[in-house]
Amino acid sequence: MTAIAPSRRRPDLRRGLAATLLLAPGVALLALVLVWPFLVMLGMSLRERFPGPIVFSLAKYAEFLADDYLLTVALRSFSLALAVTALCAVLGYPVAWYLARARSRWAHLVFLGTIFPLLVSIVVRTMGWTILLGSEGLVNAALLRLGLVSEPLRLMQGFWSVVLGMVHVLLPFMVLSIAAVLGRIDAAYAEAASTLGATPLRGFLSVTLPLSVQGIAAGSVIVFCLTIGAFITPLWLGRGHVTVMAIAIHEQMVTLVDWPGGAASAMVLSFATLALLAGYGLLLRRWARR
Amino acid sequence: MNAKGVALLGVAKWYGKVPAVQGVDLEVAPGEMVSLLGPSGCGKTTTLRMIAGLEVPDAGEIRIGGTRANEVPPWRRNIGMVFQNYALFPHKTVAENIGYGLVMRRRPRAEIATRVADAMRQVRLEGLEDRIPSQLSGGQRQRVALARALVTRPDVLLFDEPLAALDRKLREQMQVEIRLLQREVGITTIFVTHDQDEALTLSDRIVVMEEGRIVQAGTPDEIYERPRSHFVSDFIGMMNAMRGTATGQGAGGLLVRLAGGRELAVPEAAAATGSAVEIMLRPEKVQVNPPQAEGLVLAQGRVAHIVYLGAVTYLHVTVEGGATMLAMQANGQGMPAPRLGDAVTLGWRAADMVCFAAP
Ligand SMILES: Nc1ncnc2c1ncn2[C@@H]1O[C@H](COP(=O)(O)OP(=O)(O)OP(=O)(O)O)[C@@H](O)[C@H]1O
Ligand SMILES: [Mg+2]
Repeated sequence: MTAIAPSRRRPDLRRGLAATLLLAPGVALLALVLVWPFLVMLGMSLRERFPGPIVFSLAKYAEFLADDYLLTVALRSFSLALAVTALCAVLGYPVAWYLARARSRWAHLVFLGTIFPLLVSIVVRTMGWTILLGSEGLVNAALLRLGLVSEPLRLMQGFWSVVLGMVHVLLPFMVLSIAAVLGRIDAAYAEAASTLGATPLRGFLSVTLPLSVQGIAAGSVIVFCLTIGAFITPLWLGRGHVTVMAIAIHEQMVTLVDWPGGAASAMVLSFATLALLAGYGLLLRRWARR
Repeated sequence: MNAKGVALLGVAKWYGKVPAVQGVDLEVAPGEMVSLLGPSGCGKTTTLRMIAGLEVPDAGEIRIGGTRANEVPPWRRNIGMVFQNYALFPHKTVAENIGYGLVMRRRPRAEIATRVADAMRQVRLEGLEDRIPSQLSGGQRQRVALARALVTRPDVLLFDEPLAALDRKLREQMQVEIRLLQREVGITTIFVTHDQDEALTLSDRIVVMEEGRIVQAGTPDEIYERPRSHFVSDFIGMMNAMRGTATGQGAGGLLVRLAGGRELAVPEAAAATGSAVEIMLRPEKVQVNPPQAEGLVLAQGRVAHIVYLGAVTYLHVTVEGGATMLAMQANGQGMPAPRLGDAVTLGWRAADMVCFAAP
């Protein structure tokens, strides 16, 4: 036994070492670009002022919670992320379904069309929306020409134009996440449901949808987080009328030079997002288990 | 019990330009158990799926209980189907899987609970209600699939190679179980398989398919004893095949001159004089050193190879003319076992030979 033990353990050890070596660069990078800045920001948010004497307090958090402007902005950010995520899920599911199930030659084109927004620079994309929705844009021109409106509509500077722009660029993440999961669901489940008396709709709701919940969850997390952190699209498509947390934090830090305040806002945003996603995950799992 | 017959009238199905089923006529009586048997790709699954409504025929008519069902979607056909890999819902418990069809039929809760419990007892799954499919063994999954298909009291039960994934012993056990259950419930059943033993064990009638067509349909013994073509005889069981030329009708039947020069008379056979034919003979019909040679067709030969299989032994015997014949001997009957190289006499009844055009 004792003679065997070392030779049996050595491969394990070697494998452990190999795994460590393989993981090391990734972990180091994550620590460098994610954990370290996070800790720095956390530390910053707990100071009263910067630069200045190091006095730790929760004053900046209290300020945040008492600030109506910041609370409104936070609410707007979460509403935006919620709306974008929900729209992406609703619009993306059928596309994902088509990509995963259709054997048609159009599937390739649909796939390309889906990921196309990702390949186009944000500047071009935003310009595209401006050309379409701006006060001198195509839609307004058409409406004016047709005499449906007497003066250009303000399509460009609202909350929903930002939602539109965000959905446009984030939809592919949702579609690809759902399609990946749908593609792995055996078509026999839906067929079994139908032979057991389930109409296509009831079969979908009771079998396919619960089985694809993981795809929706993964897509939602990606879309939600990217929307919460979005800066350029709300700034450009909102034309300064749609202030979200990313913009407010930028204002606090760069314009007001209140680093601890900005850091506290960022921390609130991060923890609120994490809490929301955790709750969402739990909810979905509970529902799929039914 | 509510048993309905199934009829297929000239049913055909193409996948693009590939003909999967080409004009199938089949009548299944209420309560009957019929197997569709054939090699891979012959259209068994496609035929079954058309009966289930999962595939729409391109031509012909499908009737369930005497009424045309072509346009009836699967969820309104009242069928039960057991899929090849069972297709149990992975996110539902055993009880939820079995009760699914009843929930879809909007039965009251209490009724669902009792019927699920009954079904679970019927397939001996008590105590596994709350497991999910991934926590079950292959045989248990099979039983859940069976219970799920039966609990709704369907008019027709369909199986697509449900036992292919099980090991031999469990498969044979499940074959018997399915057969007993089918008789007890008295349900019309269509069973797809490419395993001849399964078809012989399970069916009232076997339908042999080849390239999208039915080549022969009959009771298991008809199919086994009187195959009507080379394909059917070759597909089911082992065979001695002797090539020859038909030389006309004689007193004892069709006269066939074998390649070795010998002439045999095959009763109840017909073929154009001069055409190439094949005589088929089951190994178990060939007696080794028959005690009474009277009335038998005889051949002398030497044992070239012995395959011992426990219950039976197969002898490969080289006969005059150089051909090899296969003879099956039951072991434990007190018969002296020939050894390798022994000279033996083989004998068989002329009526056991079947003859058809050579492929
Ligand atoms: N979805 C499909 N698309 C295109 N061709 C198909 C499809 N399903 C079956 N086929 C073709 O139709 C023919 C019959 O197929 P089918 O599945 O009915 O055979 P099978 O007898 O069940 O075979 P197996 O024993 O391998 O299951 C085959 O040539 C097959 O390649
Ligand atoms: Mg098949």
